[in-house]
Amino acid sequence: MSHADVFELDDVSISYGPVLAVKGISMGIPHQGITALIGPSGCGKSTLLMSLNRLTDLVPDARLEGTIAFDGADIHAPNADLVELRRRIGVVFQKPNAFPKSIYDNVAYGPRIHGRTVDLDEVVELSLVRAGLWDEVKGDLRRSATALSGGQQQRLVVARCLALDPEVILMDEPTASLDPVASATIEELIAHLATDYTVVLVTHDLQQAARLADRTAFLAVEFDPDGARHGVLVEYGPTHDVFENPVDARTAEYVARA
Amino acid sequence: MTVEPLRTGIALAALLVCALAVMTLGGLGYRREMLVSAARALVQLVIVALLIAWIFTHPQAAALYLGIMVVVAAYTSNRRIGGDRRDFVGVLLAILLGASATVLIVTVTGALPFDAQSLLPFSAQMIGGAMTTASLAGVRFRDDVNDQMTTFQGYVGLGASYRQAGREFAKRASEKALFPTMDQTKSAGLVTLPGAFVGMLLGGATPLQAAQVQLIVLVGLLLVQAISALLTTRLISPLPPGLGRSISATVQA
Repeated sequence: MSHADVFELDDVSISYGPVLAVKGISMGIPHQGITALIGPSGCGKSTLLMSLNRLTDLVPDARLEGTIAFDGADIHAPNADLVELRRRIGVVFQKPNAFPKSIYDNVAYGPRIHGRTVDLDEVVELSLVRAGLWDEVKGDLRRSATALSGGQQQRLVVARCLALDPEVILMDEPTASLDPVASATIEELIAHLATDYTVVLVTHDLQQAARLADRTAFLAVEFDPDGARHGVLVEYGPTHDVFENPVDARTAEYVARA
Repeated sequence: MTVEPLRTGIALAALLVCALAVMTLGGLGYRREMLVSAARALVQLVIVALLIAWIFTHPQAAALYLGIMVVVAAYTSNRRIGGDRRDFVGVLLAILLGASATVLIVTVTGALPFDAQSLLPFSAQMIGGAMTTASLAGVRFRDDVNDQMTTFQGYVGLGASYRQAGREFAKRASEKALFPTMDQTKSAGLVTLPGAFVGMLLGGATPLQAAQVQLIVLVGLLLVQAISALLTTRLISPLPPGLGRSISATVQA
């Protein structure tokens, strides 16, 4: 790990009740660029992603061991400011979760709850422009956001994050529920965002990881002697190395499907 | 109207025997439960009747009686919601403020006389109404948040506190909790004769008097329940106890 790392994970294990989801993950996520988390279903990559801004706190019986540092500070420290942490780390889910409000109010929600109401119109416009949605919605910002298409809603969710000027954007399979055209638009957007933000991307789509990510982490499923499964970090490095010259045989086998 | 204990007893026994017979003939279960519920109602109502009779002669005890009633109502409702101690305080305030506001208006306007005989049953009914709505609104509120967890996470992911995020769900849950009373008020006299109306008629009041009291009760319930639903969904946590706190073993240890 280096000081340029935004996140430093040290021996992180997360369990839900008695079920271990991921075990012993240590890795650093560097500032800016795109870091992809790939691996088969059930390897815990989404769990790991959601633990980065403590959204796993909302999962019943979740428990974390080890430490996750963001910008050098333990995010589970007793004095950690959860609201500020989540403001600095935006999140985009697999299923677009536009709020049942107008397009404008969706984007303005974050700034409003943080008391940033100066130049709100400008913030909303700029965020929608950066998310590549402005031209499609500028005619009627009072329209209900839930009436937008899936791809538009996903870009709206990105705009909602951008309105808070975050440092990191976590993306959990952001194109999985979209058609190919909408997916391509979101991919372009992700690539564009990575010049200004740190993006951590969970994806099932290996080609997407290969196309977009600067670094890739491969998680695999391991089995305990008693048959219980959990995810482990097998390999992590520059995307080119992970895909072209994997060190571990399990990585080689997995990325061969790309 | 006069009620004779002996004849009441005979009628109750006849009604119960018939109910049991019908259930047995129809092959229905829960006969024991029905007997137990009837027995409980008997014991509880006799005790309450004796207690209220005593309070009518000692009006200063009415406040204590109503206070206990509010606490029991809040406890019952909070248990239904699955709340913790902090939630209990929220539910208690919701019930207390809802019932107090209604009783205050009814008293100040002089619609009901300021005596224990009028205010005690009226207040009790308002507390009961507030409790029902607090339970409905609270359960619905938590269910809605749970069912729409990705939306809730969306708010929280933008740095909203859990309460701020919960506020987005409070309005709808409150509205839904008010539907039963609105329906009841809308259909008053058409579908069923409401309780106070029937009671007043049996007690010998004229139909017009009975209607007036029933109206005060129904419209009073609208206010009580609006306050109770709104406050419950704003004062309790949107998440069940334990959820949303740090999951780090090192912090919890």
